Amino acid sequence: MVGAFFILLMLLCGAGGPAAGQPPPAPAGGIQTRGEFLAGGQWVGSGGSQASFFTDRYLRSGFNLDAVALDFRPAGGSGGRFDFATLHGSGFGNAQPYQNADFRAARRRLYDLRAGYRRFQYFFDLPSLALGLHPECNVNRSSQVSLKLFPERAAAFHVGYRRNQQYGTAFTTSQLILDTFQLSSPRRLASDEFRFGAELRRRPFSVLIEQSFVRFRDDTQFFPSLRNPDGFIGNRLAEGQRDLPTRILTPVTRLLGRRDGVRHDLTGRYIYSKADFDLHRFDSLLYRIGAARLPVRQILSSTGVSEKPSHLGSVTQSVELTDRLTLHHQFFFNSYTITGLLDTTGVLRMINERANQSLDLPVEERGGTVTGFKLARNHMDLELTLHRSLSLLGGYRYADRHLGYAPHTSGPGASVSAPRPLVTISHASSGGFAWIPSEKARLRADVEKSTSSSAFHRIEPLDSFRWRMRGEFRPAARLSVSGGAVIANNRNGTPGVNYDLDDRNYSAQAVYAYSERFLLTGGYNFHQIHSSTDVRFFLAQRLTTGASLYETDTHVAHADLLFPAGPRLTLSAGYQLVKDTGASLPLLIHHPRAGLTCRIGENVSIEAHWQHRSYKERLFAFQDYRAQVLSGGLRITLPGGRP
Amino acid sequence: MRRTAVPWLLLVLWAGLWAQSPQRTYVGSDTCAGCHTEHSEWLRGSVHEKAALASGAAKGQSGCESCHGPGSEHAESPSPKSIITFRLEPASQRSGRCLACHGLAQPNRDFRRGGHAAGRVACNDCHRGRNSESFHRLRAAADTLRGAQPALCYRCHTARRADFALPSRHPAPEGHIKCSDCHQPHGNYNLRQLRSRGVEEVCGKCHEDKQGPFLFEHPVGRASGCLTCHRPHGSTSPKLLTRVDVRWLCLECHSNTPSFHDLSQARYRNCTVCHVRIHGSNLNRRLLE
Repeated sequence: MVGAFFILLMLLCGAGGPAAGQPPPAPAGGIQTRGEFLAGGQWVGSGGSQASFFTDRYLRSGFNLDAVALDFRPAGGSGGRFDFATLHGSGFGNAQPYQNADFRAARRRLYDLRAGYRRFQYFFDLPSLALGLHPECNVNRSSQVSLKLFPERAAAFHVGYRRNQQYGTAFTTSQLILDTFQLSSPRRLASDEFRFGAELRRRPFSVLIEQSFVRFRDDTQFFPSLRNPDGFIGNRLAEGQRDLPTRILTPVTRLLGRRDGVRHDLTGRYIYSKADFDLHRFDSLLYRIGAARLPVRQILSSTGVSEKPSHLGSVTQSVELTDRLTLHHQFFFNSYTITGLLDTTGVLRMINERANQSLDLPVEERGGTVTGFKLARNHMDLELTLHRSLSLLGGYRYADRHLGYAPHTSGPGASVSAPRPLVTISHASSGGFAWIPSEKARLRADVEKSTSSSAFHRIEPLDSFRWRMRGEFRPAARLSVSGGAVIANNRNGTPGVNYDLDDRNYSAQAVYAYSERFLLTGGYNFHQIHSSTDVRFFLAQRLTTGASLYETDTHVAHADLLFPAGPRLTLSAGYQLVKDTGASLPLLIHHPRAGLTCRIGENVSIEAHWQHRSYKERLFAFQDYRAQVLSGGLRITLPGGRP
Repeated sequence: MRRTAVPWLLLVLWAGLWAQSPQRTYVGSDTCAGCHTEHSEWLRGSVHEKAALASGAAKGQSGCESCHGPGSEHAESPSPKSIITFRLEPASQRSGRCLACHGLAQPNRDFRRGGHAAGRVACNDCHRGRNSESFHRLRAAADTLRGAQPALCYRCHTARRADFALPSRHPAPEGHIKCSDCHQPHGNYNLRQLRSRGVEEVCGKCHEDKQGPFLFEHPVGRASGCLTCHRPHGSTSPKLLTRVDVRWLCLECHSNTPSFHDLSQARYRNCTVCHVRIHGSNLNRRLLE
């Protein structure tokens, strides 16, 4: 059926001769307007695990308003209220999970206004995490607007606002009265950031001052899950609610000073922020205990406070020591202490329903953690240009990190000192070259090796090695062949840990771009990760020693073709294969696709696309799915032309 | 004999390379238009037509030569080698022409410090429009990229295309996020050219609820960031984890779990069934709620 649809469309497109070109109409009102829209629909048919398909690709049947683009410019090139104004949008309608819109208007040396909006539907429902008890289907929205005034002048000012939101259905689990229950926890997260600042320039100096305020709110509430109210050991969470309003306010002050010299750039930066955290919890939950369903009500209230004052700064410089030798140097520091404290009071009320009596067991807890962090890093890179086509690179990085973490029970107002930190000193050295033997070829390779004196956690490597090579060869003007290889190795050989990560990645790609309508791309990638760490765990009540293994051998191949089948008709076809033959998660994904674009008038064209997705896992076959997606629409270009 | 000749030949070659090219002077855009009529027409009314250099020997020069350099030698002996063509020159020289104007403000100020400059990638390797005409006709500071992200980045970073083909990934192929949302392509001092000082702040820009501070921290994130447990571009494991089965990931550090954590029971095989607040909790020191 899909094939017949395509053949019919191709016949329709082949019937006409080449479309006659028409000169664009004169700009109306002195504004040249260009733009295009693509509106249409999508049909999705799937088999196998619907949850797995939606987790991978949240595509649905419905309406699509895609590829909206508008471009306004004064006919004379500049002047008026703006030099240009553009609006781009994609993914609107109910068929796509991702929606984007961007607006920008600017006038040179006067202002630059940008606004953006992003929305996506996040779906996750896989049993391979938390036994499938944490499914979610959320909407994530992000919008922002920023305005720069006098952007290229001696004094420039800027102001901006950003808002992120997350809301929708979600489930979680909670440990309550020695049992584990699924809870419904519909997300209600929001954050706002407001910032303003100024930049003053007088060559070669410039100073930037910025103040911003970030406010984070979490108003997620928790309820017993209606679909799964029973716990793991026979209890039931019958009714109730948990409110956990959380607020974090973070003022951030940024200072930046800079001197741009001909041979010497110097930048100093300092950022101070202080995050203040505030939490109030109120639980009123009714449990039914055991087979007799004895009622127990938990009534708890908590207040939590935390703060994180942070100092971050750096001094950076680039010095052209000679015409061929350049030094880049940075000293960086960051320090903060996170002090959190939670005070909880309440009762566990044992209720005797028959006698209409109750017994209260008081609950009183106080606790928190303190985390102290200090990092100083010195980083130097040298670039030596040996020849116009060859340069050598060398670098050295030294870092001194102090990290301490401990629980505490200090009361409000008490001074909590940071715990004794673990000191980690690391050295990293690197070297490489960049070689461009001709206009047609380039090659870059580098190697980096680092060592650390200690590890804060077991899989923090004490020795790391990475080798990279990347090259591109253009044997003809329209043909490009590129490839790369990355070999990385991380180790922590401490007895009982034996953490070892071997990561090898080889890739090659060829692009033949004959014209905008004739494009051929193909590539192959092989990625091998073998990782192992010694672990100890209890199995059938016996302490067992084993290894945590991750072994993937992932092959990814792709080929795409864009082909002009006639003056009005452009065909596209593509195929992508993902095959993992490693022991950890053998899987096979096929993704063939095809499409056509047929111009049926000077400013109108029809588009139709088909794609098939086939997903197969060898270990979790119940997560397999296959899907057909057919989409099409009408692309309309404004008389002024495409943007 | 052959052994002794090689160093001398190299020395001669070296000396030749250090020799200065003949002094070129500015001749004005009208001279260029005498031959390059098409380019001159494209440039009329474009943002680069009135581009003027503000410092150095070229102070006050505008038009073609503000980008292509002094044209006296090229006017006398027309050849691609006698003028800056943005094709044959070393990347640092090509970028240097652009940065003379565009390097005065962010985001380009730190271009020389980034990995692209070190790898000899020049501005016009990415920014050159669809073709020479579209670039010369540029009428406003609009997008001049050769193509859209992420395909543009895949041309060199070939391995990233494969990462984003995996089942668990950030939505870059769908165009919802761009490589430049996390990485600063114009260079900075951060490792991997990340937009913030450390990985955790880059991730926190979108994943704000994972950023804290928490009353009860999971300090591994403070020690070495999100990449301890997650692969940033794509993974075969759910939630971009570095292990397919979450218990093995947790056990790598927590190899001293209490004895009741018996992996023969399904409940204990999935650590996050109970330890739900793995990024940090506001209620429980063991990250249970």
